[in-house]
Amino acid sequence: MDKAFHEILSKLPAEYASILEKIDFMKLQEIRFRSERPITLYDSDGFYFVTETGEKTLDTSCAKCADAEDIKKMVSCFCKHSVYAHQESIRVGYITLSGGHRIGISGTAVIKDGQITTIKDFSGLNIRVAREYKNCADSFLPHISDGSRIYNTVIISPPGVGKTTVLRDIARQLSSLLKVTIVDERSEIAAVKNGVPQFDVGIQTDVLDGFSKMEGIEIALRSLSPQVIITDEMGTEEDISAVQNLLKGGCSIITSMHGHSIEEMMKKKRKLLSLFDTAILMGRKNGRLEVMSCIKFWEVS
Amino acid sequence: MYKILGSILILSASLLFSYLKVTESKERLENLKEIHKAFVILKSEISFFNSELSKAITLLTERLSGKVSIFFQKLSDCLEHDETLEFKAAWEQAEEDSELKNTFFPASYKIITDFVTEFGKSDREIELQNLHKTIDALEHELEEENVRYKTNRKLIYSLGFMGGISVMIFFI
Repeated sequence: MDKAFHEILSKLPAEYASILEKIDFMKLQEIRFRSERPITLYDSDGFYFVTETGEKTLDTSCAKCADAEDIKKMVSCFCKHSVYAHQESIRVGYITLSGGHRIGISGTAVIKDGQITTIKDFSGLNIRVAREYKNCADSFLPHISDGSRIYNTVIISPPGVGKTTVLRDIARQLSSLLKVTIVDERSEIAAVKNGVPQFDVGIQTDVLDGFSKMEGIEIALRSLSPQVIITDEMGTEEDISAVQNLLKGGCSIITSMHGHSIEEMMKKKRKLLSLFDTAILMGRKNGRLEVMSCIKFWEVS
Repeated sequence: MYKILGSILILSASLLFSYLKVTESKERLENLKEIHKAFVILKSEISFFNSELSKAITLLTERLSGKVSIFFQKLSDCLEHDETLEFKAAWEQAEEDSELKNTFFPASYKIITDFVTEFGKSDREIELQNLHKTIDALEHELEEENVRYKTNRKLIYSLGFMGGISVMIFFI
């Protein structure tokens, strides 16, 4: 069985694990549990449900439904029965499993003094299967470097296409020549467990696991002297000042953002995008991760 | 000659019995000290390192000794082996495989089981408060048991000696 899939199944209640172990996991991207509704599986071809016996189906009447109480139990299991250790990430709607699999959580927000303190009454889970595809970034590398320097690059794509997978492979490939630091806020890029990255991120790569981008970039510049910093999912005001600091430090950055087109992002996130040299729109062609379009900002201006 | 030999044997047996009783009591006290130590380490692991339960328990096994260490090793194995197992269920499973339950004083055992039932379900602040309360209760229990042990030790030895003498007199 696929290692990534085995890791997920080992954390599910036996009833669900026995159903899901029969499915074709090679193409699997997401598993969604929604309370009192059918378990939905997503792969590159679309979505489907599973029956009680683990058969693939599109008929909701015979599909296995997730129980609300089981969803609660699953959250506890995913936290390794240590909710306190994951309270910060639960507050912002996710838990990361060892192996880098991210579990998105939906439920009811608990608000105190106008701030969300936690989520209660969990109503759904979205398990995103993290996988390592070595050399998947081959087509990206010519757009990231001209051979003498690494461009400050932002990779844009809608959620679930594979930005993190590409960033991981970029880190691995660049680290054969350069000192790379990954600021892994959500433990998805390197999936560090007990100090050891579970994915191959390269020999010259340092990982700042669980650090916010702002703090991680500052610490990396101060103490790790990286030539390239790689981080995931930028977009906030705080990220802008983090990138500005980084550029003053003479280091390059490769990061990702959610979006459907470069033009759209240039309208929405103009200030942040203006700090980069290159923007790459990423997509899938025949199941492969590809560069759909690329803009080099200095050529445009 | 036989009477003297018999008397010595009776006295030795009663003293040995007293010694075993005192040792058992001492072992309980030692276990309580180790459990108290375990909870203090657990608190610092959560407070400073925000460690997950299974990781904190694994660390505990390296820093404890005796039956308590063996128990925590079993608990750690249970949690590692089946990640879907709740803390309370893992604790009960580890307890079944070890003799730890019988070596606790009833009051301290209740303090521990109350903690185990609720642990891991709340945020850090509440967990640390619960740990603090449990440690306080164990400290109180430890002080009481320490006093009780010192008093009982003398009493058991005296009883053993007197009992031996009484049996001796009875047979002579």
